[in-house]
Amino acid sequence: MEKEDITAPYHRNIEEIEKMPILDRTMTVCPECKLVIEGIIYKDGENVMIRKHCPEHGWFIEKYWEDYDMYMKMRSLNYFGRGIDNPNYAVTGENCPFDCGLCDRHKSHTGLANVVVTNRCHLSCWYCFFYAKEGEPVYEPTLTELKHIFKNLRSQKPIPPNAIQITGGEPLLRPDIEDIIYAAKEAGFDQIQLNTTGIVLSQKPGLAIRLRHAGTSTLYMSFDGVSKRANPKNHWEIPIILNEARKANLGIVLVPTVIRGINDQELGQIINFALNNIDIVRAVNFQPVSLVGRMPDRLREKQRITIPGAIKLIEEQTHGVIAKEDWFSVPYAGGINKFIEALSGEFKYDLSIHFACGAGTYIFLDSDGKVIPITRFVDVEGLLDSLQKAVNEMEGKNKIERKIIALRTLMGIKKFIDKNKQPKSVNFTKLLLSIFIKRDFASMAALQMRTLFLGMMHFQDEYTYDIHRVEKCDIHYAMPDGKVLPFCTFNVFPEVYRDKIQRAYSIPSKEWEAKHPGWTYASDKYHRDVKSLESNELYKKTYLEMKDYLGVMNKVQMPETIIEKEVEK
Amino acid sequence: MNKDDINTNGFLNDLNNNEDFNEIIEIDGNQYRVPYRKVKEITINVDKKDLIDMPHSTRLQYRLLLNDAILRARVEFIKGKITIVYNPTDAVNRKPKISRDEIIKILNENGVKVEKDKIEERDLDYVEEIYKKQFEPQQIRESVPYGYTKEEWKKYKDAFWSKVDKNNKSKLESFKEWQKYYESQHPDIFNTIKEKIKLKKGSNGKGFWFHGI
Repeated sequence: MEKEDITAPYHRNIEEIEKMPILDRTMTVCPECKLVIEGIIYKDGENVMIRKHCPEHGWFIEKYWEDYDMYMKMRSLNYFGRGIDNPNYAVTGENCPFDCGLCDRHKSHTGLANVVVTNRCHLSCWYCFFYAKEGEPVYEPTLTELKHIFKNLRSQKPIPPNAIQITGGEPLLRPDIEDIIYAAKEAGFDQIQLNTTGIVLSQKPGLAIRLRHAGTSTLYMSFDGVSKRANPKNHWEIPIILNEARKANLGIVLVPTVIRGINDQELGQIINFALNNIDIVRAVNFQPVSLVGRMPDRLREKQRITIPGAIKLIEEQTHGVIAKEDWFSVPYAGGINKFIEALSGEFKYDLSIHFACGAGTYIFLDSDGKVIPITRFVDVEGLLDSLQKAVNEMEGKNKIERKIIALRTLMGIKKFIDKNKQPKSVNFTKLLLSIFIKRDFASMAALQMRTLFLGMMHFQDEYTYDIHRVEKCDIHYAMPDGKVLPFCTFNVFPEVYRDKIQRAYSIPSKEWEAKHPGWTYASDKYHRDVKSLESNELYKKTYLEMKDYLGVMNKVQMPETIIEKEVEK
Repeated sequence: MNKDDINTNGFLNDLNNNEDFNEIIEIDGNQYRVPYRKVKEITINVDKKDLIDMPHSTRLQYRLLLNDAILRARVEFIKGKITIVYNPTDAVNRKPKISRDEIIKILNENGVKVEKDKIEERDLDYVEEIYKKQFEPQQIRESVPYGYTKEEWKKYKDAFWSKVDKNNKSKLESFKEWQKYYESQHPDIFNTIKEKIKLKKGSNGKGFWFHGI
């Protein structure tokens, strides 16, 4: 049977669509006027779609998830978290998503707190609306103000966030970035991510060491592909950045934004690139593009890719080495934390985000160069099911009875692990038991050092908007006025949240210029010397000497072929 | 006033009108930039029919919030009540301003009739009533760990929170210890002498997000 065009589900008539099986109902917004309207999630062949009707602007059809089977699998482990006991904005949230702050209705505590430290940037990417342009105010909270924000986040009850992402603009443009990172450490954050292009690190040798020393745990670094075409942002600087991070022993999370037709053909190559640098790359976090703002319908339909869409491309490009069955939604991991919490009586992260927001898996690179996803030797579903049963059984029991239940459960863990299939270099049963028993960071870190975490995080836009997703969001932005906002209200409705609040707390351009003599918007900008960067030995070594762990470097896509051609030119 | 000056985000305009205004406030000896001081709050009782239904009330709230001079808006369909905190035209600050009549005009444009005698207005101290409250929110409920009852939690919660405080302090101490070790590994950067410092097991200076507090 001929394969249907990927944009076909957008162009059926509404009578046909209304006959399709309904999977869920939610509330969403009209992309044009923001009227809150019903969203109907339905099955269209393999795809899961969302349809909505605005009385003023008509029908909107959008892809919600590109795989029905995965949708049903992930949906089975959706649960509500506890929210926060001391919400910053004392309203009930009946006008969601325009009551944000966080409100009483929000169902997840802050898991990862984003704090914007500047809106100045050294790049001017065409798709980014966020950086300060000529004459616009500069948003750059002082160190004291940032400490106030960190303290606010850490006072969340009952579970204060222990992961923070310092973001911008480009945070490395701030001369006091080390002090900011140390202040976050002092406030009690364990995991401090620095969201950066990394370019400044390639210009300032030793800065990576200073940042690591200040408390940075990982660089959260944009990396849209292996080729120049897919990754014009930092392709040339990446080899130097990796080298600097290696010297500092500073882990890196590669963050590709996936756009269909732009870089979706390089997903397998990105994972292969990460495996080639597994000594320093801890994770790849793919972000299917969020098409915020107005754009022509046809273009949106062509560029739209969802989590399962990217997962299926990875399966295809890695020839099944990393298959769609290897992925799980984030709430799956919540079961592990619930078990530890019920056993210890100590609050643990809820990980209660909506199942459609994120997915992940671990892959192991064995000593013989074989890549093994965790699901090939661990019955993850069986294991989580057994942990959940133990949590239920522990309810209302005394301390000793709880320990007996936990012990019995832990003794049974072995049966979920196939020793013959696990990587030769790993004793997974031992590792897992030490995570449960010691309950410390070192055990988890030991697991990370042997693996590569693959994640997917799909942020929403007005077309895919689902209020059930936003009320469960645990990736938040802390604002200068004390509010805390979910990622998908902060970025999807910038006119009433992100831009509005930051504009109010910004420093007018004239004042900024007066306080920083000689500074101009142009002086922040980065100018690349391509010739010199390409002649660097590290550049050639990084891109030309890669091993092919996944069979992804075919003739058409081989980056070295592209590089050689361009060098010849 | 030159038009171009006004376009540079109103800075010169506001500076001329409010040249003594200082955005910086002090709380417990720390200085913070806060753009507003005395603002106004109006509460308007309206006919529920004008609000149509809850989705339209929500959209009206969005439309009000689009105006930078409206700092807060709550449209309560069930109560037929609209509450708006705004930066009035006579406020001393450098931010966009709006008058009560302009707000009424926006409401009228959105189909909401406003009777002037049904408007209650009060002055509001932005720093005390909004800024500080958002930074020090009230606890409205108390969650308990999974698998525990409220009674059990009551018995050991004080001990638990003091343990958390203690852990936070010791985490920072072990991080500082790790920093010394790290400095010794990079004498060229930190001007230190390379020496043998032994680290405690697990003190790698990194953290992992998975485990919570």
